[in-house]
Amino acid sequence: MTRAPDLNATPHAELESRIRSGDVRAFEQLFRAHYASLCRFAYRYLLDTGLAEDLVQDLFAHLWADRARLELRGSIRAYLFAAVRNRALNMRKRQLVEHDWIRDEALPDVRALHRPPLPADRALDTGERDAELRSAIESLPERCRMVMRLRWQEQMSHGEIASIMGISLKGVENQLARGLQALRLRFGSGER
Amino acid sequence: MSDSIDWRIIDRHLAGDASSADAEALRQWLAADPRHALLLDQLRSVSAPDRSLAGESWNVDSAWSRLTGRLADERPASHLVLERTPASRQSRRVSWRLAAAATTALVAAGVVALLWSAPRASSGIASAPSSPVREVASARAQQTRVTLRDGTRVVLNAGSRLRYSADFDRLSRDVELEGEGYFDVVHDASRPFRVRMRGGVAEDLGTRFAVRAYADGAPPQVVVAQGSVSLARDDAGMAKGKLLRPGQLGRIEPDGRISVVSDVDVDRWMSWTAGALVLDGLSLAEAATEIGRRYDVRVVVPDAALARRRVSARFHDAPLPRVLDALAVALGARWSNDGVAIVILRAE
Repeated sequence: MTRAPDLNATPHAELESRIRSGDVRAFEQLFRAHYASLCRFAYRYLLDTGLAEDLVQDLFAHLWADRARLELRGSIRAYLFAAVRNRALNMRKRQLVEHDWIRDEALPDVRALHRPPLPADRALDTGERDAELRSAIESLPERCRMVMRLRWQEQMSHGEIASIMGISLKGVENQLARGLQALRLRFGSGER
Repeated sequence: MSDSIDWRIIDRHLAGDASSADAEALRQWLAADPRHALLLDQLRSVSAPDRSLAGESWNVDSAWSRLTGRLADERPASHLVLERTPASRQSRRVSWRLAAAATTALVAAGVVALLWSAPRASSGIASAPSSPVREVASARAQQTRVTLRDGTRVVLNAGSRLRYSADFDRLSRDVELEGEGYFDVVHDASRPFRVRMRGGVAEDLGTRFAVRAYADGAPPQVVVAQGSVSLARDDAGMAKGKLLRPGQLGRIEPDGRISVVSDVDVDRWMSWTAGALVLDGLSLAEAATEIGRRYDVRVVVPDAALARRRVSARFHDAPLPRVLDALAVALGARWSNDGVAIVILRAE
């Protein structure tokens, strides 16, 4: 698997030890490299940009305050995403009292997999297609959506996604296969 | 089927991981049916950022400067150790050693719950912020540490909640506390920091202080560690407030009077932020409530005379049985756990 060299690909032991010793510039580098994608990820769980940003801010503030104990294994990016996911799920757990989160990860939504395909002869304009695609994705179970986005939007490895989502490698593959299959059926490319 | 393709090839393609063999397989698949190109196009847009997501324009620069404002004030973690997990919930202590599989362990950190009252769009589209109320809550057997937008650091003791409006810090800095909280306020004379509690309000004048105002009927009280605090009744103006100096404890008495005690043991009053359980001259009934909150258990004292006995004790990260044993010995009592509640009885 080849990937453009970036912060994640370089061994982060050095970055980590610089942060541990209080190097703000190293910390800033980490923050800038991941801030937007972490906010985006948090937003997908919380559906509130303000909350998403607060969550990521708190995470980094916590990380800095506790830098002396910083000791990461595996990908630093996977660690950050996993922390965001856990914080977001936690927040939501508390909100369950007031909000009915129909998108709960654990809730399998089989209906999404059985939507009728669109008529093949119907040409959709771009806007329509976007909206259609979005609704197709949104109707997938949350875990499936998250895995798809981490994979294709954040371009993560299956291993990273497995550790973030707390599932096995096989689980990641299953989610991706499932998501692809659902979209395939929805957009009717003729395969069944 | 000639026009089928291994999903893994599409996966690798979308993730930017395609090999040259993948590319060839993909080319053949696309050639087999024009609809395949359309499908692939659809799938590609999954990997594109959402156009409908307003927040895609996350401003990293302003986010970084906001964060550095907070970092400047951070003390070493040893100052306030809050991921302490008392007694029955002795799960893992959170460290940064997060093995891939240990994702669930992360939740052991002080849980910050943010609730808001504004109705929200159910679609994926961000709704405009409309000054909702935010709430940070600390469940029983848990402490929560939070840094507010203005840099003020708050520690919430077990079974406490802090509410503030989402535009906190823009115009004013008012928070509402139910329970017990420690505040380390970044002073700003132009925007006083006020803690509203049952029956009163405390206004910071540059300071570190703790407020205790549980909804259990005990008089709300404020202890000042540093700087000064003005404590006033709800209906009186701040001008009528009593000024509390370091080492003083102010209490809002049931009749609305504000009493001040000087030279209290401040460390003792603040020690809960470091994990201590302080039962200071409480009746056993009050101590039972406090223990219940800290360990998330129900403690009952059916004997009224026993319940009125006074106890004074201090524990540091002690397991629940040790706390109960100590009280039992001191009071000539015994305790048992019937699975529903812990019952403290006179020793026969």
